[in-house]
Amino acid sequence: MSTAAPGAEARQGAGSGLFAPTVWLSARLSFSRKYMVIGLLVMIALAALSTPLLLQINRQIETAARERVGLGHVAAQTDLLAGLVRRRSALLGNDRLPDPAALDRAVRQAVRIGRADGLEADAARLEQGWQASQGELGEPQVRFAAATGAINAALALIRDEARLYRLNVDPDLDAALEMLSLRLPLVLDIIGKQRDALAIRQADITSYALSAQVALTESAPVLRAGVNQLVAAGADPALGPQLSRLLADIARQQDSVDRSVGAAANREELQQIAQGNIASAQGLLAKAASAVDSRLRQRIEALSRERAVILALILGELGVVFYLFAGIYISTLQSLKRLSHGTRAFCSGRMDARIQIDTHDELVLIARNFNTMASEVERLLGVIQQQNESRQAELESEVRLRTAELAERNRELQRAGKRVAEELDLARSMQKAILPQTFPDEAGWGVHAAMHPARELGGDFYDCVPLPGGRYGVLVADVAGKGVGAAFFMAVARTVLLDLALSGLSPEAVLARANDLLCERNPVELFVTTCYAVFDPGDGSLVYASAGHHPPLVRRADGRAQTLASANEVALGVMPQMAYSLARAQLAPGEAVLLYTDGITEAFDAAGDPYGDARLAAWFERCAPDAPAADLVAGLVADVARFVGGEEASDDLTCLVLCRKSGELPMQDPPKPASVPALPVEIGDKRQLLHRLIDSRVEEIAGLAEAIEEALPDRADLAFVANLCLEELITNTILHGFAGQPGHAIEVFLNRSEEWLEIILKDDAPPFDPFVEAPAPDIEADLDGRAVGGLGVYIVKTMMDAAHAYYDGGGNLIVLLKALQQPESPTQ
Amino acid sequence: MSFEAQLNVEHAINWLSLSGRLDSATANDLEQVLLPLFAAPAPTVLVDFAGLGYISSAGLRVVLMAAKRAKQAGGRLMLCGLSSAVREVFEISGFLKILEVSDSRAEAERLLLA
Repeated sequence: MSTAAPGAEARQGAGSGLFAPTVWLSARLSFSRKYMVIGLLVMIALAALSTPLLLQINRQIETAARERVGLGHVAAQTDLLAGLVRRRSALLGNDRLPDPAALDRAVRQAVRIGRADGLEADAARLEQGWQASQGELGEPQVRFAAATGAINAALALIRDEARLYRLNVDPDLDAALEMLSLRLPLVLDIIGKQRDALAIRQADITSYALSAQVALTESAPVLRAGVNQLVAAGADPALGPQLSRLLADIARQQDSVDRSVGAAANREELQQIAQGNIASAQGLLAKAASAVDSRLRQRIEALSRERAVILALILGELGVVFYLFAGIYISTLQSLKRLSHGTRAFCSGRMDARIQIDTHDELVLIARNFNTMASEVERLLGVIQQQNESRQAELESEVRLRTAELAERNRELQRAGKRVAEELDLARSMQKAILPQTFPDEAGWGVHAAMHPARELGGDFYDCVPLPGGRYGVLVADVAGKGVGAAFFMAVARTVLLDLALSGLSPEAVLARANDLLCERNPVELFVTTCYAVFDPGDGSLVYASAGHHPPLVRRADGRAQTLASANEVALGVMPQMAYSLARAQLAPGEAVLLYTDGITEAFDAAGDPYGDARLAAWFERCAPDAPAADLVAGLVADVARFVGGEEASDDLTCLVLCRKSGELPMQDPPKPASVPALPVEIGDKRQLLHRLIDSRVEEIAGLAEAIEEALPDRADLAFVANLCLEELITNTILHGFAGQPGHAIEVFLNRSEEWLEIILKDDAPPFDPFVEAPAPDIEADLDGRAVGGLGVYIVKTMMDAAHAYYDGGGNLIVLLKALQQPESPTQ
Repeated sequence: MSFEAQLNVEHAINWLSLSGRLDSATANDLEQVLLPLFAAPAPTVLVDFAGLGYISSAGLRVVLMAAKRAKQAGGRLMLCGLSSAVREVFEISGFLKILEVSDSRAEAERLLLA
């Protein structure tokens, strides 16, 4: 908000150059000091201006006072002169002798005054003249001369007094004063002297008397000027006629002188005229002196008044200036205080603070600008606040909206989760419900089973089914994986297996057919391990087949737990056209067989240890002989539960116990020792040519190769290929699966049908699919481009017609198939 | 039928006769015999597979290394007497394209001494 134009600033700059000193001074002074400085300067100026005037007035007053003193002296001396003149007349017999004592006092006083005024010579002359006119003087001429000497001394004194007191240079009354101090005494003297000279009657003196006429005549204009001046100055106008009379009388005296020169008789008349003239002159003198004195007094009074007026004016002026400055100062201070209070109030947050200044000076502009600014700031703050509030409101409503949306989503999710949970619960219940809940408990034998699903949907199931001929089928299965897919697959697998079992097929056939059926209906490559056993209560025989499942565990009559031999073949659903082998066992009275899933052996405790085969066998051996199947199942479940403590089960837990009760039936033939069935074992249309377990060492390969060559005596070419592929895969497993460590078992199966040679390789290494993970070598590269290694898997894939790898949770399963076309040329 | 490697030097040619099984367990034996031959300048090595009934990728690996050494040393490696099964392994591996292979020992001799 810039209101100052650049030009104004430039002017201000120039002004500050010219007025820099005063600007500098003003910038360092508070307002009170500024006004004090200005007031002081005004006072000094007034004093400087008025002082000469006052001094002049004072001087004039002094002059007038001095003139009055001088006039007083002159008047007294003129009186003395008149006395001396009268005495001279008296000495010549023309008049009465005035009081000599008074005259003597007057002379002394005049002498004293003269001396006091520094007129030593005049005083001494008067004193001498006075002394000389005392005593007996003899001749009239001598008396006249002596008296005249004193009179002349008095005249000189009067003249010098008048000069001393500068009476003749008075600005207004110079003429009057000259008349008083020079002319009238002289006239007085001449009038007396003329009369007295005639009285002496001496020729020279007589001529003097006549010549005095000239002097008197010359005096007339001077006297007239003095009187005119007095009258003009305001004295009694009667002075003029009085002078005129005196002059007329003097003229008469001259006439009389003229007449008396020839006739002594006329001297009496002259005497009288002269006496009258002296008195008249003296009167005029006294009156004029009084008038002059009055004029001087008036002048002094007037000057004093003038001085008082000037002083009063100065003081009044000063008072007015002080009053004015005080007012300006107070007004400015008030305005500044209001400005200060207003801005302070505004700064302290009172947005409605405004400054009210009702003066008409520039501070109003500041106040107005401040008020404008404050209003604008208040308005802007209001706008900002309003915006903040509306933004806040927007945010809050946004938050409310989002919160509501989130809550709704949460509710939906909860509903969905609840629905899923409910459906999963339902699925679990159904899974459990579709499993048989009633078990046969015959006189000679009994069956019991339990399935405890894990939290997640699993795929364990069991079944027990009466078969034709009094036999009884029992089944435990475990679908690989978890979740809805596994559950579905379980339902399908169970239906298929149950269906096939009911048809009375032998276990290995049931598994083979079920495998084919499941392979057809297995879009997600699930598989199921199962163990199916058929018990014949008549003789206690047990025939069973296993598809990748744990072999059955038997508790013998002597309390020993024994794992039944199992061909341990491929799980159902892995690959069609698989054959399964049938195994046989015998249950003596009091013996029990346990079928279970890995939910038992792989139940983990808090430390992460599995329940394991050893604990299972130990538990089985601890069981009471001839305990009912239900008790055994409950006991096993409880034992596992004890082992895991509070841990959540990771997998379904399923077990099935079949007990042959003791004493019910006589012992029949002792059972054949359960073992791996003698090879070749017929599996459907396949023959198992080889089943061998080797240690994870490359040195084992040569022995395996010999066995394979022996198993395929008619087909050395097939043996070569089988050996080559087995070696490649086994070295692969040893290197990558077991990190070259010996001590791991690798299981090899070699099966043969009319059309296929089937090679199966099992290990318990971590999941590894060589056919996916191994990089293919570049067989088109030249010698330098060929990498050393990486050929093994490629050779296997090239030589075999099918090569697949599976991981069933416990280990890798590799299945290789080679079509059995006749060799094109014999190898040997 | 264990693996054996018989080395004869005739006419400045290293005759290496193999017999038995050349597998993961025995490939190292061949490596010990065969690879040092290429330490000499410009060696000529003939490997006779006539007595060898079996070879796996472990054996192929040693042969490939030998071929690379031969090339580096400016020498010559020739194979002969491959049975059909062994030859098939070589063929599958693409080795017939990068190795000098003759049908019989006689032919190899002829080629080398020519």
